[in-house]
Amino acid sequence: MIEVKNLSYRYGSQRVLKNLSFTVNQGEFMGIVGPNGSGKSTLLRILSGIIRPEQGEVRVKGREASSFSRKEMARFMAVLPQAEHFSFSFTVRDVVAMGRHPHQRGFWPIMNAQDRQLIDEIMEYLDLKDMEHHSIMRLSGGQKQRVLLARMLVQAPEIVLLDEPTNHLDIYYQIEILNYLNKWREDRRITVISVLHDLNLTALYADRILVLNQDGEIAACGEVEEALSSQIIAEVFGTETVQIRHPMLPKPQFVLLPQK
Amino acid sequence: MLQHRLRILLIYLVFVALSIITIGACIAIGSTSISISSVYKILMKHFFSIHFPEAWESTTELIVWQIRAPRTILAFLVGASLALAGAAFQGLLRNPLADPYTLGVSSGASVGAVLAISFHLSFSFLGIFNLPFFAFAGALIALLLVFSLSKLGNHAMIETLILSGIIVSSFLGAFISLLISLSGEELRQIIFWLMGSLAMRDWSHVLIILPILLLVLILLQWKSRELNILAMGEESAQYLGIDVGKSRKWIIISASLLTAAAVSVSGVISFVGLVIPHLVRLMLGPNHIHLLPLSLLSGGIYLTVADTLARTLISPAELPIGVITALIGAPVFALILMRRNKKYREGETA
Repeated sequence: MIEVKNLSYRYGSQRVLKNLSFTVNQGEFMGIVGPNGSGKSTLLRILSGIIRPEQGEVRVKGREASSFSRKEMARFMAVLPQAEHFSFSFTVRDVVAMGRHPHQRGFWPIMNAQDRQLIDEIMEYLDLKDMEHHSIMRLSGGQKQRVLLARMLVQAPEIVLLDEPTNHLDIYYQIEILNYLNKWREDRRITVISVLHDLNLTALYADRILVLNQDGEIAACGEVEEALSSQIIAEVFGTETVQIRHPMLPKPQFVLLPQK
Repeated sequence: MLQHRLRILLIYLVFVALSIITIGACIAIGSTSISISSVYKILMKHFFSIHFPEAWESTTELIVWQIRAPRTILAFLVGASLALAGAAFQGLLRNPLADPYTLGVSSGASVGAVLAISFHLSFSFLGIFNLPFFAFAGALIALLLVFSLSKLGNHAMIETLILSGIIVSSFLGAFISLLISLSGEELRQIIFWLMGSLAMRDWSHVLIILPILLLVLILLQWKSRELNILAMGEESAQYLGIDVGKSRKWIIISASLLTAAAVSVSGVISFVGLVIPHLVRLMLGPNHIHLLPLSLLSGGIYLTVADTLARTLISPAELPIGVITALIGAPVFALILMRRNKKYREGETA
């Protein structure tokens, strides 16, 4: 689905990404982790085609990512950026409906019955029906994130990119967002690439993990057990952790040890 | 869903009806009072060649058709243009404090007009369009300055755009002050132009602004969904399939042209473009699909009433229209804002 070959990028004189090569297969959940400033958000922007790689290639569905028009891209790829601004008090439904924009054609596009049905269906799925006419400005952080997830799904994407979707959310909403996303992925076989801060959550949800180090290089990439270990975490984050097994799942988890 | 559509249809009907009533009533009001029904009959006769038995004197028809109707309709169109442009700018710049003059259009137009007045610049073939021509040219030059300062083509940031507007505005503002301080007997004329006025206008002024207003309305309406999505932030807008640079260029250029046209026929009338879109957004929501046309109608109604007050309150003298727009507008706006806040707080606790 996505192939990255020898990708490098710099902002001014500062190298952000160095010689990355990896592929993401259809239907896969790829987690991206790495310390602050390792270029995770930049990597997502390059994958989405809004910035061009300085060197190397990014191919999405067999085509150079930056060669798609924004509208073409938005028909199969949805992105949840890290910070979203709401300047005006649109209703929840208005915001969700914006996800249909890339699919509407013509000079004066209007919603058809199919669009409306899809919007209803997804709002039902994400439990947003009750707040349909509420202003987006008055929702809590967790509810807002659910609205934005709905907007992504309404885009009917084959690929979704998320930049720390659980940031600033309490534990209930963190797990809720990931559960919704994961169930949708399994039902529709969509490809998910997500930057996540929480290593334990990443280990639980991702099929494969890409670990970036401080210099923007790949420190590890592969199945959860190969890519995440106490040793790699120590190397990349400079933090000591103890690796344990999840008591009920065949997944590694990492616990911290405070200094005495 | 059906109920929702019915409500929207009703809102449009009310606004259109209010517009027609306001225009009719404001033409009827004046030193010679004329019945509203004659006003409509005279307008129908001239616009659509529908003839009614003429129960009015020929001087009445002259007053209505030659003097009051063009001025009143021009007031409506100028108000409509400023409010429409204001709504577009506020949405685009994601800034409720933006107005049609944010990008320096008014200062540019003022420099053009003041230069023309101070140095008696005129092209004889332009006739009464001389001043509008210079104002329009000034506005375009100011816009070009702002665009090149902020490099619009290369995906300028919103903040850069606003800052460039402020820089160009203050530079041109100083230039206007300079011209005023050096002016002699033209001072009164300059000041009067700067305060904005709709006195002594005729149908030809209406014909300057009407086609531009219609064209820009169609363009902006075409971009109204993109305006909604741009309000979510530039990055998100790109992910939703919008070519932000291109979309923004269309919106800025069309809204600025409209503003320039309005300023060139009426001078700088403040407040309408800032507050009317705000008011409409407060009452009817931020969706630009409806916000744009409803702001247009509200702005038209508002300026028509304001101009009628300006020409009748101390008749036969006239008040500057900008004074009226702000004197009534500011308290009304404050009142609505206060009521809204009260409702909001009560809603929170409930």
